[in-house]
Amino acid sequence: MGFANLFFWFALSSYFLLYWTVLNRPNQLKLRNISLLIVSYLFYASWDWRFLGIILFSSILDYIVGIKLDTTIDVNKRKLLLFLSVFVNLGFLSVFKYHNFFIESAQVALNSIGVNHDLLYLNWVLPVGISFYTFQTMSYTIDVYRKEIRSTKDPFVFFTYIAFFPQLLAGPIERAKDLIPQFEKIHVFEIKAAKKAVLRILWGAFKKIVIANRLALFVNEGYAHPEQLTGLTTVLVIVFFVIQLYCDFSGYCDMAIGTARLLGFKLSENFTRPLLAKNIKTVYQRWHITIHKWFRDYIYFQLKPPKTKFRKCINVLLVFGLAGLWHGSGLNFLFWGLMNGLLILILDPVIDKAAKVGGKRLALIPLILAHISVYLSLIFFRSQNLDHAKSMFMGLFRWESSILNTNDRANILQLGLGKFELLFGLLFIIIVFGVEYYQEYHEKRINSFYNGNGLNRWFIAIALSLSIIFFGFYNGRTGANFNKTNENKQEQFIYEAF
Amino acid sequence: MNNTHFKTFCRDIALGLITIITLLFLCNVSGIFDFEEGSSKPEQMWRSLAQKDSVNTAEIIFCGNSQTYYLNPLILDSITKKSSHFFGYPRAIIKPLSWFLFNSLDYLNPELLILETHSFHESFNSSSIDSIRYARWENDYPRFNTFPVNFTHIPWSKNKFPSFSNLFDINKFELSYLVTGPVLKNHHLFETHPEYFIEALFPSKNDKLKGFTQSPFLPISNSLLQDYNNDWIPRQDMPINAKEMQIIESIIKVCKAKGIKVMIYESPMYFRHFKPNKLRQKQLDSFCQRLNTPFINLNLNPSLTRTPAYFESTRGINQHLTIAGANAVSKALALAIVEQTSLLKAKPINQNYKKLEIDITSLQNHIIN
Repeated sequence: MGFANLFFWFALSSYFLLYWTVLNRPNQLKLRNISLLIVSYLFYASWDWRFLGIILFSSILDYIVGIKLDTTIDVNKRKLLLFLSVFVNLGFLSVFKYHNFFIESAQVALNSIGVNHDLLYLNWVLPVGISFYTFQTMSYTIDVYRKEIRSTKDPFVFFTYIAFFPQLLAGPIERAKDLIPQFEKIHVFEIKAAKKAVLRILWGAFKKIVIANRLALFVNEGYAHPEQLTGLTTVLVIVFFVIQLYCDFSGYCDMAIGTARLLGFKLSENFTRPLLAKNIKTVYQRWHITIHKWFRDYIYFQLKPPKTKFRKCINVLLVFGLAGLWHGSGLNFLFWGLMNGLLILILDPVIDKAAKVGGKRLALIPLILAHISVYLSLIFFRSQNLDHAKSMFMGLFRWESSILNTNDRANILQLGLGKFELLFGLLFIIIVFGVEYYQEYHEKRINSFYNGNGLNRWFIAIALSLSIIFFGFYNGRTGANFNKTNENKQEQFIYEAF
Repeated sequence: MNNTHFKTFCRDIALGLITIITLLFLCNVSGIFDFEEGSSKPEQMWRSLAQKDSVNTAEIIFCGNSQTYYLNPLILDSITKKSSHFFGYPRAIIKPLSWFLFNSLDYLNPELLILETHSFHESFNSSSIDSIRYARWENDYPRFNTFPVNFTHIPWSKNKFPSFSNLFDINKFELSYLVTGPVLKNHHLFETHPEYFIEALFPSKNDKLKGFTQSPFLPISNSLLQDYNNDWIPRQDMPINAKEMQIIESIIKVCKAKGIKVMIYESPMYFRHFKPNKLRQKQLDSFCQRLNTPFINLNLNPSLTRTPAYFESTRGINQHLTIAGANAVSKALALAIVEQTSLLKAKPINQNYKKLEIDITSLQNHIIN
């Protein structure tokens, strides 16, 4: 059960009514938090109840470590406590997420020196959201260790902070200092914020169900047969994957932030229109903001300040390499992360030069370079391994005249989508970019939309709902390439797998 | 908590939900989204015919599948001087087609019924009679009339509202249909079949193509021609089963009893692609002779079968006509119709029609079951 499941919204509606009419009362703070915790655990258990054990263990450990850190003065003991927390949390992550990757790498190394001994591979399912809540709970322990925050004494507050259902599966990764205080107070129902939240949820659902799920068919088909793609279709598959990924993840975040806001909680922004960024630096300042901040604050700033350019390069590559590995266990993810770091280092002088000289034309250079490099680097992200990525890159050099043949054009260009499904998809992408353009450059108009005539918002909400119903790719759709395999994937978000 | 704000919010949300549900409900009952892929092509045909006036006044009815679907009604009409109409659907077979015919003949007034032989098969993979869906029409045969488009004219609108007691019977088809709703099931219609949606929303009363459609197929390619010259094994049609022959005979008898002439024809395929079966030819010849029904095998017409431009470029079994092919076949068929109808004389209405009707009812039940 997730945000793309209708049952979730029925359940949330019931809880929403109960929350604001019964639970969210000044004398019932504890009861409210307990209810939030139960709902969060039920939500998590709907995937697999066994996952609860891991999150519960992490929460208990970090709750105790946090309190101990607050009361312990001895530096070595404090370091030991921090080490214990980080070791256990990363241990869980390593076992579930990276075990097979390490074993595979070790196996290759052993085979290369002539040792043919089969190592133990684990066939375990990766608990959903483990990367997200592990990093969230580690940030709490580190902040308490650094004495940036005090530990939380109320176990229900702390446990709910780790398992808060709107952001449990795929973030945003919240800092304790931002989210924990919100569990310690009673919220006031703000009608404007609630209406904005509903619109945001619908906008997120629109991006996920109407655009991302649709492009997924095209992209999956393309990545499944890279050797059959022509140059043009390879470009389309690469571009559509970036849009799919953006609509999928930002759609999830919109729904998460909107859901939390409906209950009175404010979550951090995770995306600020990254596809309108003007250079590669700002792309990563706008894309998956909370994870990049995490790596900046807890890794980059902890490294020795670079005295030489070489040292700076190493630091940047280390952070981006780790960020790549955070996304998935595989050399392709490591390569993707390193490539991003390298691109920032290479393009940094171009960005500085363009900023110094000024001029609109020159500003286009970092923009174009940023987008081309990000789009290409995401081939590694989407590919299953380096060979698969190589096949995709090869497609970029396969320009054939068959595209000019009317008979073949449909098969070549549509890749499993019907003609109208593709055309409507393009129309919806234009709408999303149009809205984002307004958000970026015409903030006043967006504000006046939220503060102005309520009828406009009401019509937009209805239009979004109907678009989701009539143009959405959800279970039951029997469109062009909508087979059973694809159908089962419709509810999943890409980042849930991390 | 601000109670007024909370109540206002809940009211607005409720208003929005009611609006959406009402719109979906209206779409559900309108029948616009009553669309089924594959297995319910017959239903689409039924609905399509029910909305058209041209079928009521058609003098020649062409009954068949995609082999007949692409004929050109303008050529047919201009040569025969009669109005034609297609009665069938792609992948149609004689079993369900006979069901439609028996239930429609009271509403149709053709002088001549033309059956195409490629539909005389036992079954295609995805075409079968879904007795539950067909049962819905038992009391609601197609209204081949000119009611103004209004709420009562919407096909099967009565069936959309089952009785209250029926709602509690979870095994009833109506409940699941009412709950899941065709809108949610076929929400993709805008994108996957926009032409169907437009036709359902704005039914074309004056259907110029009269149930036929233009062929989308491209002519035989050079590479396929090369294949034909190499090691191509032509498709050979099998003799028709006795069961199907029985159905065809019933159709001919019922039509003749009602004063409707019947003719059978075989649509051509490229001579290298398809090899007419001598046994089958003999079987149809003697069958038609016995029932005094003309049979025209266009596969025996070399000017048609030896022109690659007339046929679809396919390596599959079923080869369709291209636009040029459909025009040529329409012309040849229309000329044959003119020739044959002048020879035919309609027999007077059979006095034992009542008895025949009972036979048909039992046959109909046999088909559904």
